[in-house]
Amino acid sequence: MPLIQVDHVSKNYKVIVQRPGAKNVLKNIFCPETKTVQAVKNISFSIEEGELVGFIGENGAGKSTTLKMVSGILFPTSGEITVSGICPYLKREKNARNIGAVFGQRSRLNWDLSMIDSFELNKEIYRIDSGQFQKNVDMFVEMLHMQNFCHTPVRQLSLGQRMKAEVALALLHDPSILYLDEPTIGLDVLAKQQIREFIRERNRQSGMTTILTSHDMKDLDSVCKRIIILSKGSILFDGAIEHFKQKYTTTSVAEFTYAEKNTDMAAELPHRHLKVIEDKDHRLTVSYPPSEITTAQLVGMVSEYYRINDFVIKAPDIEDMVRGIYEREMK
Amino acid sequence: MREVIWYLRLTSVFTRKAVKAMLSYRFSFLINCISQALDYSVAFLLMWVMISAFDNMNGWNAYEVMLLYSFSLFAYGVAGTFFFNIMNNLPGQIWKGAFDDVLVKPVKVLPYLLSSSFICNYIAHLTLSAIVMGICFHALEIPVTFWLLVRILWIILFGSLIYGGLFLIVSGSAFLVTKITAMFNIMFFFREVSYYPLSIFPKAFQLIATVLVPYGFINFYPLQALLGKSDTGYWKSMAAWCPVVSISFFMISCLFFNRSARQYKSSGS
Repeated sequence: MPLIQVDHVSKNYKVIVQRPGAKNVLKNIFCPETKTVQAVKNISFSIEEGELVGFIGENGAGKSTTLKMVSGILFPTSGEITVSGICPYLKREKNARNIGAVFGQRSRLNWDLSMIDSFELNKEIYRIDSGQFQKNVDMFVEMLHMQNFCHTPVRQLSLGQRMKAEVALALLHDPSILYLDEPTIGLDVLAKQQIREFIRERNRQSGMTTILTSHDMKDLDSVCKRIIILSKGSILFDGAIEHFKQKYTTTSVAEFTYAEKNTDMAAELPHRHLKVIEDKDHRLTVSYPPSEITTAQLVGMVSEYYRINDFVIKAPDIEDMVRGIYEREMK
Repeated sequence: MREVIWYLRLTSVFTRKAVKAMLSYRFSFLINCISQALDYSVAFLLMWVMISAFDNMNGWNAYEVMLLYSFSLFAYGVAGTFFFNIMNNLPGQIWKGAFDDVLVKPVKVLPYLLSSSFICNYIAHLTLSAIVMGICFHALEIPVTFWLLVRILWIILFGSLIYGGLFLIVSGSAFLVTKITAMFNIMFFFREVSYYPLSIFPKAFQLIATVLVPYGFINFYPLQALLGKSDTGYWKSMAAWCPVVSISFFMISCLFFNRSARQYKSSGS
């Protein structure tokens, strides 16, 4: 049985619609018009223990709502969720022992105290035993390079330092599942990289399952093996990140340097999907759809025309692909 | 029981950290205490001046009315120590979505909020009302015996529970309506009312303050019995009902709070 099972889950919100105009003021106060918004529409997925899964989606796609339902904060309007065999929103307390959660835009640290003080509060809340607590604190401080600011009041820390402390705080009780909602928002490259490295390392060491949402495609590319793309409350794609790249990359670009040209390839193309972009100064640039032509085939084909010295394949940017999907959805 | 001890322990850890955090704002804390003490002292003084001028208020003399005031303020201070921060912080937490962070912790909502919200900001209230109580009992020539002290504590205990219940109802409504300023104001309006003998108000209002929002049980009914006042108002000798009313009101408030918190899970965004 999978660790997390989400079965035909929907979540509706009621929002109040303000009727415009001065004559509607009283009407708005006494009989407000409500509109039901479907934040999540009948989604199903399952996640196995130890997986690293990324949620992508435009703002308001339903990522956070899904995360909140899975972590037990919200009830779904319909459908069922099971996490480690229990229902997270009905058995919230029991579920909470096994999970860590970081919601990027909010701080759970006490800003007037040092991060160690906040850690000590969590030690009590999660009933962590002293030995394990000390071990984890030492290890996390080392892994995230936090030695310099352990005892500084949190209000004086930089955003990156604070986010590292937030992530460490969520992992002190060795949760089996970690939920991260935009953990790297607004961070510099180094801090981002250290946090990504930390999450990967914890996954390797303890098999911690991680679900993260992010707008930073590099986060997903470097941490996750699987991605789920949400748009307007529905799942557009769920599968391995490699598979996603294959499916949504319409074209890749390859650059060859060659010593000698046998025949001009541009004149008689060996494959109908292959295009030559440029061919000069012993450099050949071609574009091709990776779904139709594999790298081996490509090299094979090109080597019939050229004596290749070297080649580089410019991997398509996930960001571009996702943008393409959003744009298509918006239309 | 083990659960209760665990939450008490949590309270002590939270309080130690809160004191540590407060130490970085020592000056502000001190000024806050002083300003509150001044504020309420002036109120006491004004009341004394006013009632002395009128001689009495429906059979209650200046010292007796000031006793009403000091009992109400003391009970408010005790309740505020435990509940004020919940009321103060919860609407903001809900509004900003930070309440989610409470829900991902392996704790029960209300006990956890209680543990993390304990504050010692009411020292001024408590000291001031204790002093005024002493002055009043002295002026009324009531000897302060051991039994009197027990009765005082008894009255304050149930008064605090009623105030606690009110704090919880106001806080709990934050889950339903997010902004609670209006509720907050109603609560303070009633607190103001509790400084005076309930019997001076119209009967309909007495009914409300006895049955609907049991402010009368915080100080009026018990002190009426303690001082042997004969003004009956709408009801006679309600003092015996204090424990029952206060405990049931508090329990209803807790239920209301928990139900509202559940509501959050199905409506929160």
